Amino acid sequence: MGVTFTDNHNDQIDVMKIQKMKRRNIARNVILLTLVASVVFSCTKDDSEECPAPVIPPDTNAVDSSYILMNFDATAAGEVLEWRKQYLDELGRINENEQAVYYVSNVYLISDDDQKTMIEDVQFIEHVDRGDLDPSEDRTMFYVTVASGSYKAIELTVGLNPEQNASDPNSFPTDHPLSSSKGTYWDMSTAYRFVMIEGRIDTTGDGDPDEVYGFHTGYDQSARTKTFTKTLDLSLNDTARVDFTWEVNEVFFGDETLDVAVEKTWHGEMSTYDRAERISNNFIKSLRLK
Amino acid sequence: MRYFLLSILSLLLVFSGCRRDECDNCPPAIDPTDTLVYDPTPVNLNERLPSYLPRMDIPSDNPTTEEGIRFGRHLFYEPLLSADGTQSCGSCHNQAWGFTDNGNAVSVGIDGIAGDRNSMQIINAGLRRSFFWDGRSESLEIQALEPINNPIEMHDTWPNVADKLNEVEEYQVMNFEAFGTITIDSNTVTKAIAQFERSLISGNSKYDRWKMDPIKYPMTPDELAGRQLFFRDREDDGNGNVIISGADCFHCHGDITDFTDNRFHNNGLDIFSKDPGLLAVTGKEEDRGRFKTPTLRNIAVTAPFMHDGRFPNLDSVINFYSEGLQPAPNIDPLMKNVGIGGVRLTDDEKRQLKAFLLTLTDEEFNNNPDYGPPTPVVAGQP
Repeated sequence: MGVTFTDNHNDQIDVMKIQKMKRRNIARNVILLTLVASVVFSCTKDDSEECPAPVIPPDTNAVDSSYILMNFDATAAGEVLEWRKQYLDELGRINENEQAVYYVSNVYLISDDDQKTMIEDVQFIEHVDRGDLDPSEDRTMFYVTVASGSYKAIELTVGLNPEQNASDPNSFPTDHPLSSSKGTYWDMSTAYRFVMIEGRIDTTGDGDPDEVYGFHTGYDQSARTKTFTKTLDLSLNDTARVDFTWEVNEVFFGDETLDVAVEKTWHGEMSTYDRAERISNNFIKSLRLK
Repeated sequence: MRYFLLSILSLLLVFSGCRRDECDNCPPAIDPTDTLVYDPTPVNLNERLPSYLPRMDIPSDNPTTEEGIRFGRHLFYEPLLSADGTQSCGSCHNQAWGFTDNGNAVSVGIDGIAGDRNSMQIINAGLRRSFFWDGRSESLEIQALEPINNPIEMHDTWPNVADKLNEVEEYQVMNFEAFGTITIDSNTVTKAIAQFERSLISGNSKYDRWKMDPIKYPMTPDELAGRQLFFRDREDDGNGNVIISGADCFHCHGDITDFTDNRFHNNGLDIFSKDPGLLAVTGKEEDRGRFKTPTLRNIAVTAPFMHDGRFPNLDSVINFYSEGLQPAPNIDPLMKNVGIGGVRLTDDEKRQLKAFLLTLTDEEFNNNPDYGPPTPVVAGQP
């Protein structure tokens, strides 16, 4: 008697009939036998052995290339920015940062003869990310492959160019900086958030950060480009390191002031766009080479 | 049946260490695969998703196949997975309730012990990056391991469950067709269930249809007004006087990522959360009361709400975000209006917001026969 079982959406299947038909496929069975044997005889492998951690190397297949490791640091009152680590702002108030992420894009090397070469189209820098399982896990560096030679400057944009900003976030794989998985896409504005800084501040002076603040800059006009003077003489297979840094206090108390206890948020409202403007201006001004 | 039994017998001989050179009286070895063909049919689940949703990352070691989904569906509704044979995954994840627990605030396991968390929806699960309210599992496959052993859920052991399933030859056939081996174990069971869960795709709500073609599928003025509130921040003059009204739902429930940011937030339910939430995973006190953002899809049928099911209906949820926020010391910075209790919606605005939320119901998903219980393969199963 054949074994019969049914699904709601499948016709009844008589397994015996199918099995008889399938028995004829000798060649396939030989392959399967080999597979089964390989499974049985592979049992000596130590399955508990962990794979090595993934490494993101530079593209060593590139011809005549050398490499640059670009790293971005952030400080709060001069100390390394850390998830919810308390620091004093310019007005002496306790501040805790919970989110500091941003796009760096359109990175160019400028050669001694003023030729510009794009070396990176976009990266997403995460110092602390409140939404992560581990907010303190940062992603602040990336490799770029460049042609060997002499360079005098690096140009980059904090934010995205209009074409990147008009991208469909679902057209990218999840590990791409512009993927929707980064949580940077503004659904209602069909655009990306460029810089996201959030935290809480003690407004009463009792030592308890009692008010939350959050600023998400965006729209094409919030992108800021800056050129950094940097001499790089790169021979074949050289690896240079370029370190940038910026200071949280300078983002709120730079050339332009934004008191987070008073102006607590900006999330895309055009009526208060000047807040995003001040954040954008101060951020790019604060960003410098170490 | 004869070939099948011979296959089982031969496998037993192989695994009992009977080698030809040691055993002259052994029967001739019969390849268990002689009677079956392992030729699974690949399934591209991403083709079933609306174009504006992210694509699923399918694990390379568990590609989706028709056979895997079919086996996983049977297992999802299989009470043999519980120690006393009374509960399946589907017991607490009922399709008609958006794959939640039949309106219960928390679920009760086979021993009559109530858990402390609300049963999460299983909707577009392939788009999630972590599972459980505290995110302690990083994949559907890992997630599926836990309820079997959990003493307040199915309270069994994996070896015992595997033994029970291996006694059902129809399941061994399905296991072979899906994974190329007749031996069922925790690995194949969780992989199959994960495949079935990934296939539970919702993308045909009223809102989805409007998004694809707003002329052909218009929303009502209330629904559109609710959508505007959903995607807008509240702004006031600093003294609590509203300048622009908004419900500010989008920060955590933005639609481009399927009405969840797949992240963790303390949304101000309690000043001190007794449930540690993400703290249980990270060990950091600042993560107390931080929970994964659930999708809002099918929210009309997934009540009650929040990690502990404290809110019985949508009205109570909207009232909470409007006036009921508690100033938890680690409340999320996105809960900007905690100082005035919430986003302070008017009654009309609450009604509009609710109208929009109700457009997220996907009746096709809730009634899809492919997602419901299959005809059981074991007599006596529900």
